[in-house]
Amino acid sequence: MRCRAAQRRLSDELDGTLDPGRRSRLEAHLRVCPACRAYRGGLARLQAEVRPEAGRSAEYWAGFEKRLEARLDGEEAGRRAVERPFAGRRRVAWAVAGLALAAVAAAWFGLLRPRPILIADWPQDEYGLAPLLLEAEADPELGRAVEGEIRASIREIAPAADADAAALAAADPLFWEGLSEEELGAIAAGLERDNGLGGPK
Amino acid sequence: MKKHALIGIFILGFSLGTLAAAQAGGQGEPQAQTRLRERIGDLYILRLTRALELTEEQTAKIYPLLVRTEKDKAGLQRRLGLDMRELRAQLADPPAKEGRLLELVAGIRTSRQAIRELDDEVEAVLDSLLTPLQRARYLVFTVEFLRSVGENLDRARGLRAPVKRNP
Repeated sequence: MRCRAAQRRLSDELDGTLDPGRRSRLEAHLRVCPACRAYRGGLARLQAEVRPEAGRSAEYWAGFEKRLEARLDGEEAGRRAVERPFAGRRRVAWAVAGLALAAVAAAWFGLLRPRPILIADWPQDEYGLAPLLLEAEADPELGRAVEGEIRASIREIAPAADADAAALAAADPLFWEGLSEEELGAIAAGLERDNGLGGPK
Repeated sequence: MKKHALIGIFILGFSLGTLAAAQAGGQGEPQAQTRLRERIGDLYILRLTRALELTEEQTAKIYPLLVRTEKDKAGLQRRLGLDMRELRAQLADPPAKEGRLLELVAGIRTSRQAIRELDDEVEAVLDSLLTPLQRARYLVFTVEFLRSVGENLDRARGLRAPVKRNP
């Protein structure tokens, strides 16, 4: 089992919903992979410490995605019509996923990690994050800064974010399905150019 | 020279074969993307053989396997791509038919798993034919190749500066 597959299954394993076959393969991987063991440890601590969001009605959250989508669509109208990896609905899905991870990351940094927060005035916990997210909805510049911090937080808590692990994402068949003709052409052209230099050593 | 001629024959045959397959059986999938993916497959094989420095005996055994595997993977990737397109279309035009959604999801997962199993089969055969040094090079090559794919993609998306090469 590879690290990426193992990390995808850790959440189910901690919830006790992983089937026996996958569990045994996951355990075999954890025995030999310290990075994934550390990642599992972090997830287990988060599960024990993170408290659910309070003080917001169901109607607030029901409308949150629509407000965020409207803000993002307004920004997209000013951009050139080229398919980007974070455009349209994929950006919404990415933004929502990123915000959820940011809440987890904020809890991690605020409650569990002794090291300093990434920026000086970044909220110390997930309850302080909510007002910042509300402000980011109305302020595009603040929204971009928040998005940048979210991505930095994701990279910070992802233990296998080194170049080799990132490269292995391209081994997934689904990776290729999201690519446009232009992107495939750029990959082929780059490989052909590199081929002329003698390929990898 | 003999080894390079053998390599050339296989690559030419593979390219012509896949080009014919692309023209005949695209079933609506953009042919340009099919050809580009297959071109990337060709480049993978070329770079792999350079990295491994195969003997003629190894080449005669490994090349047919690589060529057949890439062809099989291309077919599965095409199937996966068609199912993904239909899945997106179903989701974009509600109400989506749940039964059809489940079929498509199952089909995509099956294709994805089958592609991975083909890769595993190739690696198992290579393990039996390569020296320890070649096996190590194969692993490093795989990561380097995929990283190169990622870097070129980032460059295409404007996320990375162009490569500066010394004159």
